Amino acid sequence: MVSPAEKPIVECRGLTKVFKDFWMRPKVTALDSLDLEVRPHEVFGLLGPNGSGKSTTIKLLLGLLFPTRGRVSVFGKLPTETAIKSRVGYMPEESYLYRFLNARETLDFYGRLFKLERRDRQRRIGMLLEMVGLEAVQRRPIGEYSKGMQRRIGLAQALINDPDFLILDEPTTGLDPLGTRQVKDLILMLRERGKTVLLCSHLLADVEDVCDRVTVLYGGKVRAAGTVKELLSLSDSSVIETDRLDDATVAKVRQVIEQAGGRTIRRIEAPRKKLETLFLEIVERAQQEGLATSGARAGGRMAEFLSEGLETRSEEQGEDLIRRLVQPAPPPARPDAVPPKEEQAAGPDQAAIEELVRGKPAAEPERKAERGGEATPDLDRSVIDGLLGEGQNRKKDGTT
Amino acid sequence: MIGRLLRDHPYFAAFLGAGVALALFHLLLVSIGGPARADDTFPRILRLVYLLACASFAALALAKRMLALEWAPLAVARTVVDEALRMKIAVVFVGLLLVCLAGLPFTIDSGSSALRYRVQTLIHYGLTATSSLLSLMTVFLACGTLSHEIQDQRIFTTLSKPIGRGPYLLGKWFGLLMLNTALLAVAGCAIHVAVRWMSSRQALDVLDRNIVDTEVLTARVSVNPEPPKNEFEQRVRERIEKLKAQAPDEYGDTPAKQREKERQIRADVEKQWFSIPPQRSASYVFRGLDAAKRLGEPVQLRFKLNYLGKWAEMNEEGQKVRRRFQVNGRDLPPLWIVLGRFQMLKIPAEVIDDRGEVRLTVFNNDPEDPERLKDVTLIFARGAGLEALYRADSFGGNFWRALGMVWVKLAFLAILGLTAATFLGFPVACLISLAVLVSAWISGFLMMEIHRYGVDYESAGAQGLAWAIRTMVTVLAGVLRQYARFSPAEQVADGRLVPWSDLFACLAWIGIGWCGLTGLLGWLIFRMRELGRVQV
Repeated sequence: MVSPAEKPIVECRGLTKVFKDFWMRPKVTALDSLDLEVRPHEVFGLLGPNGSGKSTTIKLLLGLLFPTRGRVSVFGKLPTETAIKSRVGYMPEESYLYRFLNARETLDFYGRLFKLERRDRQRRIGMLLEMVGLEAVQRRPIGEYSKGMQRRIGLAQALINDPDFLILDEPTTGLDPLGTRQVKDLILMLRERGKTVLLCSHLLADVEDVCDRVTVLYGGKVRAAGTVKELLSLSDSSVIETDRLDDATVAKVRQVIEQAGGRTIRRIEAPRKKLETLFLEIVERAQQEGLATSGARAGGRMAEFLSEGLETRSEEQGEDLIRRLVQPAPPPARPDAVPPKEEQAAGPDQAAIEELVRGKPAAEPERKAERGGEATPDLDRSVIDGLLGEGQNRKKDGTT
Repeated sequence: MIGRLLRDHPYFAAFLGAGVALALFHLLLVSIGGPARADDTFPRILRLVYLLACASFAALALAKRMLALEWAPLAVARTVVDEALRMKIAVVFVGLLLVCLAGLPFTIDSGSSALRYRVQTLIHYGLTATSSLLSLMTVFLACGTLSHEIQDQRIFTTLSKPIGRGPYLLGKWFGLLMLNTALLAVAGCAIHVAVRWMSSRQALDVLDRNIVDTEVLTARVSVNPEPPKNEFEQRVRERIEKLKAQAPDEYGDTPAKQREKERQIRADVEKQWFSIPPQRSASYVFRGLDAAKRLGEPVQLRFKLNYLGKWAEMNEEGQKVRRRFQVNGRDLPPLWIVLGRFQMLKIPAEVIDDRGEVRLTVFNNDPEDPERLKDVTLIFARGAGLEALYRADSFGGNFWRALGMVWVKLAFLAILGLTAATFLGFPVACLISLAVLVSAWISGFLMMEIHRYGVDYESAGAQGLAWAIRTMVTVLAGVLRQYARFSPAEQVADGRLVPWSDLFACLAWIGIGWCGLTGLLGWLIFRMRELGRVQV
């Protein structure tokens, strides 16, 4: 999906930004020789603690700041060139919007800056308002919106031009789990459409869920970079998920695993429902009961113009899947065939493990596996982060 | 449907509500005090304010409609208009202006004063209030719209879209221009209608009515007599040489003092030229009256005579003297002249000679009683103490040209405020813009008086400092005096022509020259400015 051969959307080479004081003396070095590449069609995560230079990087990419040294290009051009900006969408970390305009006027204003034709603009505005769940409050001034509602309209304005490159700065901050889920779905959908997304977030679970590659900044320098799989894989442990097992079966499994080179099961527990799932169920139930709300509603379906061309691709993927399913299974290995060396080493345990693996549910872990990620833990951390605002604390503690 | 209309357009709903409230208030007054009570000044002012507010709302809605054209800077412009109205910055000034305009006609309409003064006051105050309040509004709005946007970081979102910093600044300026255009149009219409209403009121007498028609609600060209250049310059030189020879100390030992003395001598010679010694006569030629002859418009010779010298009978202003006048060689009947007051001689167009000239000769003796006030030196007052006027246009055309000048000056203030806000915060940007505005207002006075500053200082250091201050103020006032030069309120109130040439000059100097340079400076600063701040 992400081809390194393609020309990068964003390229920073030796990018340095030094803020100076009134007397032009260096005050703060926000970025120090940063090398960064965001490749086409990928979701790129920019991580780092407060003051690591994430927002400075984004402002440099948008031409709002100028580099002190080094080079930065977006779509191969200087970020200050207005031509490239028609392909960029930007959702800032705060709702930097006109408080006196209402949602519709706001989107209309930004749509006009993109020189969208009136009819197309109105169509997109309608779809985006429905998508972010603000259709019912579209005539209220944004100054009267809650923070989450302002984030939603901030997201909508970033999408009005159907951007090829979307910059999301802390997109889920201030959003309820509905909005958070929607943003993550949106990012995945945009990637499926071949768009490029730069995601900057403190909420590590968000990044983990959706990013292909991440770069971790600290003190204006890159401390780690690579795919999520590369950075997060723990090569010394395995996770097996199955239907509930009785004690006897667990004992058998334990025995099998212990026989496999003296390994032990460290933890066995019953899976729990995700807090996010619970929350979404509650809201859905309340909406079905027709309870009134003056705030944002649950976001509607994805704006059509954002998912154009996607149905065809999904259909193609579906057909591909069916094709693979109906294809005759590969012939079973003959009993007399000599297995590879590793399998030989696995010995009798392998069969038991295969048996266990066969029963695993397909949906979520499969999607993760496609991205090269590990199976998710029991809880969606972004939901907890959002509810408790503890993302930062946890990060400080060093736990993930 | 109505509910939806009211919900989607809160301003329309507000106006509708205010209208209903006003109607109820009117009904209440009628029920309490009868119809006469409803015609009292206060309800009438309220009704007028409401009408003007509705008109302003309609004009701004039209302006917004015009800004809906598909061009990115116009999108920014439209947002500026919305900001002005919804953030209440403009509303305060517009409210004040509407109350002023609605209240002014009723406040000054007292039957006891001459109608000409009432009409003149209305025009003068109306135009002054309009230009002053809109100037202040423009400065605050221009500084606020950009500096707040930078401070609140809203500009991050806007400038991440495909609009350059230049077009963005241009859009802000367009927005302010449209706002001013709409408000100026409403205020102009209001003043125009009020003037027409006022001029239809009862005059004190026929003369009063005649003055309103021929001297106020008109647009007259003014021609001043010029002293013969060579003769005048020779007299000045002679006086200077004489002073140098006889009293070199009085002439001064520094260039500044000498320049000041020469200025005084020049003023003295001019004064002398405008004075008529006892038992003598003096002639003054008015040139360039061809247009009056061609149009068949009579020429008004307007003058104010004062006296020089001690004399017991002339100890108070308003003393009358009888004198003889000749116009292009034709004798006029002897006239009683009230000293210290403006008087008018009406000259038919046929009297103007073929070169378009009128020669006025004044004889300083009483033709019927030669002994009466025979030792008085008469002198025409400085400035407009002697001039020939003829009607060249209507009041309406004059008035709207004057508003055109006001509009151009507001356009400059808008770009000045925006430029200041490109690199300064709101309070400092406002302060700088207001300082420029006030300096421009008083630049005429500064130019007249600054040459005196520090001339008498003794020490070299003080003199050097005074020179630096004089130079700085002279340059500043010299640049800004164009602003004061195009101040048409008094001209219009006095029934003097605001010529197209002045409007074009105003447009060229201020509208293109100043706005262009200031805008260019603003764009350069804004282009180089980093909008983000240290946030790491």
